[in-house]
Amino acid sequence: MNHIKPRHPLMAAGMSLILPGFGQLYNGMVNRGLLVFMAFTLVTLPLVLWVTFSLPTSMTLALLILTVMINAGIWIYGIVDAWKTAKNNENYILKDWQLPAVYLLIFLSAIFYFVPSMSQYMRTNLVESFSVPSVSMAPSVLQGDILFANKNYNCVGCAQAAKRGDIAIFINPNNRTQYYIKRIVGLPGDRIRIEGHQVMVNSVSLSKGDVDETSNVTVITEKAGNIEYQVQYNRRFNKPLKEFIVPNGEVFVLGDNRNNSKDSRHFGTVPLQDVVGKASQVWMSRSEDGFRWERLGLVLK
Amino acid sequence: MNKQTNKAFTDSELDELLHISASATPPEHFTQQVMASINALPQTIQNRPTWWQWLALTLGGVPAIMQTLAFMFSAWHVAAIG
Repeated sequence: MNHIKPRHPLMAAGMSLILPGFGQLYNGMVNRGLLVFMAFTLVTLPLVLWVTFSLPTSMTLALLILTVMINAGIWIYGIVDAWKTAKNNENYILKDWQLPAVYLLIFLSAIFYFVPSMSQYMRTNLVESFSVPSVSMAPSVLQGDILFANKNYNCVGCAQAAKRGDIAIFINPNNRTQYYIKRIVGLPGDRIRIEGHQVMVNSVSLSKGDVDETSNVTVITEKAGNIEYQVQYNRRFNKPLKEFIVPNGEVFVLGDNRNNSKDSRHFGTVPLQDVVGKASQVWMSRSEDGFRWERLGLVLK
Repeated sequence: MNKQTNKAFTDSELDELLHISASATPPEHFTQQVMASINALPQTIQNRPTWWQWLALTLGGVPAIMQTLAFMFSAWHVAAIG
């Protein structure tokens, strides 16, 4: 027997609040519900893909903010639309499939499978944020920085391969539950030697000779590949490193804060397969004195 | 074109008319068919969702909103570096 079962606007809006498009299903509008859900999820992924693959790193922060705003807009639209449709649906005849078990199945699939899978895909393959608790990469990356890392990096089919000068995120070789951030200095087959403040790669010094000794640290400009960056040393003695050849399939990494960094000088080279991302842009930075607003949006190199 | 005029019938005229016209015979099982049609009409059920529907919405809503927000902010989800 058919039943006239007027839709309850608050229930429709609530269902759209907990899952975009769910309120439309409650109103019997399967296509519109699917459209809202797909817009919410699939519009985000291509946008983030576009940000990651095509656009300059400096636009990452702005466009990721835009994706969140679009998401929020679609979500709110879904809630308002479900509310309005339910309000005008006083003579709604319940459809055969509108059973509690069907709602439950759709809800559980979306919340415990589709949505988490997409979140995981985004963090594993596209973009992930990391907070930096150590000073080992100063002055490039400061303690308290939170940054985006490009995860479409150093893998088959990825946009970028690991190269000298990149600030890489990798799995700590001595504790695989932990990530480290350091700069790649040597690629497989490179000959590395360290003498004082000089890092030699294939007998060529990375140092460009610019030395700034105005503070209590010595800041040196280095160039690895096409990337120019600054490193710092304090007055402590720097242990030299005899010439060393980076094994195949591995990279040699150093922290920019050369006297305060545990890197390949301590734990050896890092397997290339453990290099999972490249630091790209700072989106928050906090010190003991408060926020460092000047670092917001800083492109890392 | 025929011009229709509104003429009021008197009671006697109506009686006369009823006497000369034969009564219509109802179709077979007319009453049962009418009742079946009435039964087939959609029934209005109370509009308000029941308490267990609100409970399900609330209990399911908490993890659902968390997951949805986690997806929205997945790029902003911060992992710690050692």
